[in-house]
Amino acid sequence: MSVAVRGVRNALRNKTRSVAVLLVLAVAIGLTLSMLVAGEAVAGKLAALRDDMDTTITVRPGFGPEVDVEDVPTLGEAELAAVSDLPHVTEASATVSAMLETPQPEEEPEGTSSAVQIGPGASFGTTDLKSGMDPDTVGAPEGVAFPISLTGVTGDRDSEGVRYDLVEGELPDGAREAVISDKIAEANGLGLGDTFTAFDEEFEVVGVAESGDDFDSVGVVMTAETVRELSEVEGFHSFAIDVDDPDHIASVQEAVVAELGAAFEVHSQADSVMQASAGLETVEDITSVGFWVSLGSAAVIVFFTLAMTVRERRREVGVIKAIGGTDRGVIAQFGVEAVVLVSLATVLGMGVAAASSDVIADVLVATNSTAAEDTDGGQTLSGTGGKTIRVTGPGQTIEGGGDLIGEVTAGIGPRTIGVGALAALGIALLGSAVPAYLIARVRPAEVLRGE
Amino acid sequence: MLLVEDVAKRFKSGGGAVDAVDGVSFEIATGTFAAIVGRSGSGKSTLLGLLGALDSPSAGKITMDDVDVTALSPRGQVAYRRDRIGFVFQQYHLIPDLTAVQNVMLPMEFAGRRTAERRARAVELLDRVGLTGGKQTRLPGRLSGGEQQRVSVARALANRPSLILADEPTGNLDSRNGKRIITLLREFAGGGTTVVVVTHDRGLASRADLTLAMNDGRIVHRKSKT
Ligand SMILES: Nc1ncnc2c1ncn2[C@@H]1O[C@H](COP(=O)(O)OP(=O)(O)O)[C@@H](O)[C@H]1O
Ligand SMILES: [Mg+2]
Repeated sequence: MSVAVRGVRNALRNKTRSVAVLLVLAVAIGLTLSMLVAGEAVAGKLAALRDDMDTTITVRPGFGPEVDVEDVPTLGEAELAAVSDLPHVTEASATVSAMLETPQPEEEPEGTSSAVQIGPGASFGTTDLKSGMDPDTVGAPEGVAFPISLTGVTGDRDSEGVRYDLVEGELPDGAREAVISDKIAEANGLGLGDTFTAFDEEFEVVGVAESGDDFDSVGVVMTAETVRELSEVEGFHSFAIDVDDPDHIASVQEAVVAELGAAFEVHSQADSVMQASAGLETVEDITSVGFWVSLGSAAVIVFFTLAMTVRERRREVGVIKAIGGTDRGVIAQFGVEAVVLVSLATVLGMGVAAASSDVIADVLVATNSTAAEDTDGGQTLSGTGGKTIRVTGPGQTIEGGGDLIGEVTAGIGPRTIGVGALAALGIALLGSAVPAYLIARVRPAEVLRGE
Repeated sequence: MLLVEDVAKRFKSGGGAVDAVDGVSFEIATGTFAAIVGRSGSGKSTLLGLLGALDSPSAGKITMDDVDVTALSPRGQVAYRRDRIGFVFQQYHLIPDLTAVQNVMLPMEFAGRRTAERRARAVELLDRVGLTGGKQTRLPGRLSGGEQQRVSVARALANRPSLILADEPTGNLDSRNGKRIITLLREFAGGGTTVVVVTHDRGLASRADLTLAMNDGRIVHRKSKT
């Protein structure tokens, strides 16, 4: 009978106690694994959140109480160059907005105004295009002609900082080139190479962009230079600033405010995501503390169990030493005993973890992300006393923090089983260390002392 | 030949110190059946432990055949106990969850013997001490005191020791069983094997080739039959 077999047998020698210790240990190891699994799930979610996170900052003129509507500040080439040069800014682009009016039908319905409020500073031009919007979808009376938004761009982003999604063709480059939304293309029967007029000039369709579900958020896109020339606008209406890393959004946002002054709305999705992340980071911290605490408890349980066993079997240890057994042999025997105990407990613990990790992750996430869920997504940082007006248009609502988190699912995979096995071994070794020391200290001469 | 020269063992206890063995010298020829007698607390067990390298003396030198026992490293002590010494204890000290055969096999396992060889020799030794048949596969708890002590004698013989040390092996036995154990031990003395038995029993001691009487850690009397 080998050291290993004796170790295994000894682990099960006192059945009642073995079962009791096993159960307690299984719970501790189960919690350890649950914490690990929950922590991993949360970490995965955090990484996904950050990966998905829009790292664009948008800048638009502010309309706060301190800013006179008549005196809307301008964003010019100099400002664009300045924000482009800020650290951690990978790219900055600008847009100019104008509106195109479709010729009105002859009989204008009673009481309906075709004047749609779109905000200050917008210039109107005429076009032969029909809006792609179906009056039905917005509940407008039949025959209403919607104006078409015209955006001049220096880059590939719209005034909300969202990248254009081209169905075909490319973004305008020349002065008489334009991209139209797929809705306009359909409503007007236009395709690549076809032409239309705007501001009494003829434009060639060089691209068609996806415009979203109900509304036409694309309209017509030209180069910024062209739109400025046609609408006689100076400067730009918005900037979209790309930041290299989600971690730098906040600092760049502050730098932009410092650079441009208080008269602009400097907006990013970062705050809501960061807030959601902060909740998750707290959960991550809790799970990692929980992991170590439960791992520690498991080690302590093993330690006390073995220490108790060594005390009980002190005489036996002395006898084995007296008849020629080595310290190493005896320690190995107790080590095997610990490994057997911990392995059985780990198998049970995996069951505990499977049952509890999802619940633990859910509860922790739920109790730590309420703050994030209360926010309405986009946070605005501006110097206008906090009373900012949001120019977020329909179809452009930003997801709330709570929605951002969504579901965190924890599951037991082969990795957990592997880590579990390692943790078990670690616990066994950790918990055996002091008992091993006690064993080494047993003097074989003790067996000669009668009692 | 077991040679003990000026050996002493001092234990520090509380404020003072106890000289459990206090300058002991003697010599036992190989093959001798020797008895150590003396009152309780006179240092018999301590001396036996020193002879068997369970402990190191505070002073003096013990030589067993060609081995300077007092100069052994801890590892050397383990090997010496395993290969040269066989212990028999008053409380038997069998491992409670191993059967009689498994208990006898244990020292051979430590010596690295193969399982088949271990088992064969264990069975043979148990047969020789008179524990036969189904009793060999019983746990110690299901054997009588006398039977347990016979298992323990078999265990002591497992690795063919040159020195058997028995500390009051009959102390827990009735006189009939005690006699049996002494007779057994007597039988194994001779040839290359020396047997040293610690006992209270003057009658048993009278059957020894050499008797050493201890008092207060010293040898106060020695009697040789030859
Ligand atoms: N480990 C020890 N620590 C302190 N004192 C001890 C120790 N071992 C033995 N002694 C003391 O040494 C003396 C001799 O003990 P021991 O050798 O057991 O005597 P015996 O076996 O003759 O009864 C006793 O006084 C005992 O109390
Ligand atoms: Mg004694």
